[in-house]
Amino acid sequence: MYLNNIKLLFIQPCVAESKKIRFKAEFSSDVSNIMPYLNSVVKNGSYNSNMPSFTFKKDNRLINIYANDMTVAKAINETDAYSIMDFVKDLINETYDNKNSIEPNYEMRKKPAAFKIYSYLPKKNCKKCGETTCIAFASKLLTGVKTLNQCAVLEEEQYKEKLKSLNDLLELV
Amino acid sequence: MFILGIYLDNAATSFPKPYAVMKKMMEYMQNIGATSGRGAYKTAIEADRLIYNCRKMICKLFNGSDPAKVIFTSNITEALNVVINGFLKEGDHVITSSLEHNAVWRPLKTLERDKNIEISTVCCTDEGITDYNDVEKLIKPNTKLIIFTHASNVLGAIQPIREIGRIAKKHKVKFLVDSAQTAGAYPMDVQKDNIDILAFTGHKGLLGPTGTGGFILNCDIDINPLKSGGTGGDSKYPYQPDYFPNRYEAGTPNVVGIVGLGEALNFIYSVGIKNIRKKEEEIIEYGIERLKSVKEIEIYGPKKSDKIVGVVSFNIKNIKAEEISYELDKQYDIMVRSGLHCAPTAHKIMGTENIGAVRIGIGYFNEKEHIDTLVEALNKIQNKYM
Repeated sequence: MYLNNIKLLFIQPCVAESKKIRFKAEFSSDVSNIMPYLNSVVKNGSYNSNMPSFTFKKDNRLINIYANDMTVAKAINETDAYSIMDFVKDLINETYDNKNSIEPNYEMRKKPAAFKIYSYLPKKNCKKCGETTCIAFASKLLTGVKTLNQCAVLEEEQYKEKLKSLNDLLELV
Repeated sequence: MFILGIYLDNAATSFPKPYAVMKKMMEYMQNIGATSGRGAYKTAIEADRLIYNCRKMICKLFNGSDPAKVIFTSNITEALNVVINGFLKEGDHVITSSLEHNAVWRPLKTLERDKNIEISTVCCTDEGITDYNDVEKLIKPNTKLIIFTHASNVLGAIQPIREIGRIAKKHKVKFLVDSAQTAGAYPMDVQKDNIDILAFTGHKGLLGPTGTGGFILNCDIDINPLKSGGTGGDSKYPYQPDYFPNRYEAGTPNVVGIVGLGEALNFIYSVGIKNIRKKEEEIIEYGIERLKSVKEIEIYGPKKSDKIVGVVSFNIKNIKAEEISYELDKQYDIMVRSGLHCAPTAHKIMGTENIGAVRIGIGYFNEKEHIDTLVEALNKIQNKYM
């Protein structure tokens, strides 16, 4: 077995959703070399070779894998935390076992362009978010300086679908 | 380990427990001690891990699909109460066996009295054998639940749950199984056996400590929680959460008990259910043969080791069951249980509802020598009363 153990380090209430939890866990082995294979096996993941890290979503949980540890946001409870750790351990070990038949993918998922983000925004330039224009807000969203909940207009019912798309686009950034 | 006397009441609770179980519980109490799902310090995280591990092992043993759907309760009676009281509504129809323990029978009779539910019992032979075809005949449009014991705690007779589960599935009726006498001693698989909810106890065949048990959810079902209270997280939300297992687990769990149960499951894995069943079957067969040699004995149930679990009930003519068990304990340090065994239903089938019976409960740590000593003692008691 490549990865023998994942050890839970801490558990805290989630910042993104108050009813959920986030946690951090430590790997017993360095998994950097497996990441390009994970990038191939897990669709819609985001690989960053510079950190290195591999981020993906599993049923709404946001899983960030680093060389020697992982962090997870939006887990349900401690039972879920252990369940996710089991899942990640199995995923890493199975990917490692099959790596000779997997083509590694070193491609880093590009951040969405500011214009792509802008296309989902209300485009009212109302300044309620503190920025003069929606395109400026879009750029700040990409750098993490601003967050989506700072746009009051997006809370309106008519923007529900666009808000969801923006959440998906920005989540793996 | 020195054990005083011969313990033959494993149907009530198993004894002894594997040494590793006791050791693990002691280690937990000495070195960890924290509860689970509350604190976030190292020992609390370790307690979380041990509890999750136990859920996982229960899942593995019964082929459940999700450890989060393994809910711990204080015993199987509580598990059965949660499901029966939380699921059934006014006017619902329930089908059950003629052999149910009071843990099923009393909640059902109480709902019949208080919420107007209808109960149909499936007839069986006087040995406790049920024909599963009789279940289908009782299904009606308002049938919501079929509840069956996997094996009678008085007659030992194993019930045809796989076939009953198939019938339940065909008619889209939920199927709840009481595995009190079979979990850990007889192979079970919630998928292959078509079980929607499996109630289990930790302290009998699973060889864990008392105060443990629970149920496995293997279907989508709306069950109102029996208890509300602290679930460790989400404290601002004023109601029981929707997610599992917390929805049905309020308050501090029996952490030390669940830790012990986890270790007991390790033991069961290391031996293997098939090997446990093989050993018990041999002793059951030997026990029945030897008991037959006791004069004036009447043995109830199928009297065939492949048709029963390690539960054999009997009476000896002209000697009260209570007197037999008293003498067995006083003179010979042999522990058995006499009476109605919380299952007047089964005794009605046997025709012993007014006199009860003596019951032996064979477990994994019994040996043929225990049966020899029992039979010798019964013969001596018989001579004394003649």
